Amino acid sequence: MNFILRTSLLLPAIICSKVTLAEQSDDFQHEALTVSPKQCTTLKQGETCYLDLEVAWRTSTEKSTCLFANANKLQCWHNKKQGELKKQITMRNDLVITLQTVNKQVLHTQTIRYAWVHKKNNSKAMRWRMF
Amino acid sequence: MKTLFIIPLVVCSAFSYANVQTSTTNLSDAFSNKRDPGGYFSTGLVLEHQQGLYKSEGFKSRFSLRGAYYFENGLFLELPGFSDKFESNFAVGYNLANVGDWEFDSIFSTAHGELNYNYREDSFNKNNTPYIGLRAMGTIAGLDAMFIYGINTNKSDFSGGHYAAAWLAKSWNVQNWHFFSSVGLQYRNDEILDYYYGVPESAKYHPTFNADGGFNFIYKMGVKKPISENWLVEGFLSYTDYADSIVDSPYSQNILKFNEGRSDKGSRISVSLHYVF
Repeated sequence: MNFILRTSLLLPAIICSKVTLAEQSDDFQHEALTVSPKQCTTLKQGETCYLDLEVAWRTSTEKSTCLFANANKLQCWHNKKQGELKKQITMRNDLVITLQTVNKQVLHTQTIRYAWVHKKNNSKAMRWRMF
Repeated sequence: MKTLFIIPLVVCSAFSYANVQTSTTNLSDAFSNKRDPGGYFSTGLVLEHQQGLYKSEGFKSRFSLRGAYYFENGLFLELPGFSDKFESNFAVGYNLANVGDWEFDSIFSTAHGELNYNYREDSFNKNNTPYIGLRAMGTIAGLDAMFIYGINTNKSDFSGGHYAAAWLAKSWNVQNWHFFSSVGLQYRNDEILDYYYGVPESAKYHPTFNADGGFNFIYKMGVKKPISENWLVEGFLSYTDYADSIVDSPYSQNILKFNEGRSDKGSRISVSLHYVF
């Protein structure tokens, strides 16, 4: 009887705590910035790398935000909890994608790595050997 | 014969053109400053379809090794791979001078590969023909240009061989797909071509033939797409129009007559996956 009483009291407490954890977890999952691709690779270091950028973001509450690629503003949203962007861009160095509030508070950051196959070499001989 | 004069003239003209372009450059700097050091090495798998005079038509796959390294002191090694490359034979050399947009090398490489021919008593195995020469590489009207002139060094087989080549190429980067297109002329004089394709009077089954010097015309186009820092996908096609004296040789005519899948024009289509170190 004592056992049943204790269980009847504890079980709702455990369930409630799990719900709270789940809600916190959902909140955490709601806060996200996903960027694709993670890397842009060109044949030779220093060449322009072309990529089809795909970005998706979520926040737990409605916010006015802007998406930046390094210092360049890509797009802004007004009072939204989520957004998407598809855009063709070019890069010659690592590219930092940031989601910021209108007050410049950085909410999320992702970096797209600039990679190459052949190290920069200005020689004509190397160029012929890379054709 | 004209080419013997034209190609060295072109190489020298390239040097003087380059010199004019950089009149303020100290000439001694041109000889003391070597090209940027560096290089690469790669290995991969190639799937290709080929056809030619001395190659049967068909698909084949092969393992590929290639690379190049340019040392700070001017020495260099080039292992271009197979015929998907320009001047595809192994080469060693020394970077003589760099003037403006042009690089000048002394080079030791091969003007003609081995040739094996099997027909009764007229069969033969002939060694390759190494050459020592000069190479100039630069830019003409936005096109990559390369000129080579060399003389044969295997004097025990024959002497007086002259080899010359001229290549022009253009490349584009479209969405990280690196396209190139090129045309080339390779000249071998009568001493070289007669060594391989001439038929001596002592031949039993072939009429006597003296091979003149002549040009191979080569067109190549291809594409490279990097997948990651180390993986590279490539594809290319090439077309070769052989010198008349090669095609007219009784050896070649015999090959065309008795072997299916041979052609008096060379062609190759290839796709490959390489790992670049």
